[in-house]
Amino acid sequence: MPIVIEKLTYTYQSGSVNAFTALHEIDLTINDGEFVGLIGHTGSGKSTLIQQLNGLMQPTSGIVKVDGYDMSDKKQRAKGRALVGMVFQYPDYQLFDETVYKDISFGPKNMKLDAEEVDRRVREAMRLVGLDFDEFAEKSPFELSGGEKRRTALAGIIAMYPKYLVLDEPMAGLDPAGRRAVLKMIDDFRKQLGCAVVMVSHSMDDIAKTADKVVVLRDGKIYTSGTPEEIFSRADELYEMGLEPPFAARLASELKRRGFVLPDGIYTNAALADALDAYKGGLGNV
Amino acid sequence: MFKDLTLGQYFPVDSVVHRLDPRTKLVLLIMYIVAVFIVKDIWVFGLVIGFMLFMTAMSKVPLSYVLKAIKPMRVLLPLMFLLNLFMINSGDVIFSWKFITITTGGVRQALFIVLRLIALVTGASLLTLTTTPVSLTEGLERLLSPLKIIKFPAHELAMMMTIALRFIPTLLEEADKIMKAQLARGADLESGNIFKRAKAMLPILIPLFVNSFRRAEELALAMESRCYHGGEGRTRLKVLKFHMRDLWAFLIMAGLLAAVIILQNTLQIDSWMVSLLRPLWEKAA
Repeated sequence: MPIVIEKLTYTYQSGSVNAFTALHEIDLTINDGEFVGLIGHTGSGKSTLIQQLNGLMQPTSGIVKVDGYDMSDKKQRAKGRALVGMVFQYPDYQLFDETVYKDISFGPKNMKLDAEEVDRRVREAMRLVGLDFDEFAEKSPFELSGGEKRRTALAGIIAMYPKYLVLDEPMAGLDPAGRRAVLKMIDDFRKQLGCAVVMVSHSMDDIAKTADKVVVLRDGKIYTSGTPEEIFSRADELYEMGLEPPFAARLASELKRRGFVLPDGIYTNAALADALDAYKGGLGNV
Repeated sequence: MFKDLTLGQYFPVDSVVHRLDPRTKLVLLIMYIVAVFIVKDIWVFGLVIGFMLFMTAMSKVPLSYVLKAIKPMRVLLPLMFLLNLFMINSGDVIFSWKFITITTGGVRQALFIVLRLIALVTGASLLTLTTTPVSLTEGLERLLSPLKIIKFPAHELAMMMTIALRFIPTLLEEADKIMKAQLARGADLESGNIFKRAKAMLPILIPLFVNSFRRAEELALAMESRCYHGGEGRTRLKVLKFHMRDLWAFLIMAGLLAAVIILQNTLQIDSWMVSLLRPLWEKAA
């Protein structure tokens, strides 16, 4: 069963003079196992939207249903929340326990699993995020490096085996090697655990590599959504919205402006290289 | 979760009271508190209340805002009133039934304590309503600076207050984020007995503290890299100046104090009212 969002509207401080509508009649479905990339510039409502997915905020009007559990209802919310794992932007908001092991086991313990199952899951999660058990299990989370902290925070959520994994800019502040590693990790869990992933990111290159579906938010509304081909073929439009389309899409659009005849829907480096190869071949035939 | 919370209750309008020097306002508040405490005659207290209302009118802050300060005391005030009413036995007995005795002294004391508390709280809140936290700490620093002779760290104290005030909203926002992160991991903050709940707060308090220490260190570095080295030789962008209006404010306040002292020593309205009303309860008894 999917996450279904219907006509979701959310207003901060509703009823007061400072009332601000952050989300406006959002309709969105997140299917099982799907990788959804959520893009939009600062203040477009991305963070508000993902917090609705596991009931940390409740809609002012409209419905959010996680596998049929209505997130506006207090009892159903607890059940729905257990299905949605949420990783915040900064691991510092989440790490608290004496050791990495204890910190990762916080979530599974809250799920009232028995000790053996908790242990198994912690080991599995650490393996998935690439933290060596013997080296890190007994370390304090506060003496880790930035990248290791982020892995620990991710493992803390992975160990809960969420059906839907929600990530708020999981790569923010990491160096290119770290970004690649985290992105690969996320893709790996999805394959191994079969979970759906909702990822907020400013980097469209990252989303272009992995997403099945791209949703573009603008001023609290869904501006457009579709497959990466559909969205990134409109590179110029995204650029005007203050977003940075994938490098290959921008280059393809610049080449077309200069008279190159290229197919639509190029957004990865490989596809662009293929198209240019074909072009070269085509010219050679003339 | 904390979005609706407003901190520092500064009410931004332009008025004479707002424009007063913060030092003047601080000293006036102290004088006002002295006035509230030296009043012994309940009728003269009207004068103090009148002054309070006058200042509120001058400040252009709606009276309802000033009175909001009483709200947190809505349990304390009636309790104080009743306790004083029943516990104090002095003067004439007005009413007596089994173990309950109400005397003129009790009524007087009960009214007094409530009025004093209200006068104190509203006076203090008028200060914070009309003065920004920044100028308030600046005023405090300047008032305390003569104490530097005896090595009192006036500047450091004011700087600490400014920093603390500055970071309250930041900390609240951060606490909100941490709480959400832990709720998302299935933390249960609401059920269980008090010990269980206190223990459930740990996953929120620890990251909050760790982040605060890190932030303090970063702030110290940022201040040092801009050559901050304490208050020595530091000048201000806005220099506080003593204006005519400050002098007037002092004169009015001095007038109030003088009036209070003279009136309650010459007119003894209090005992005069008691003797006037005495036939009422004597008839009832």
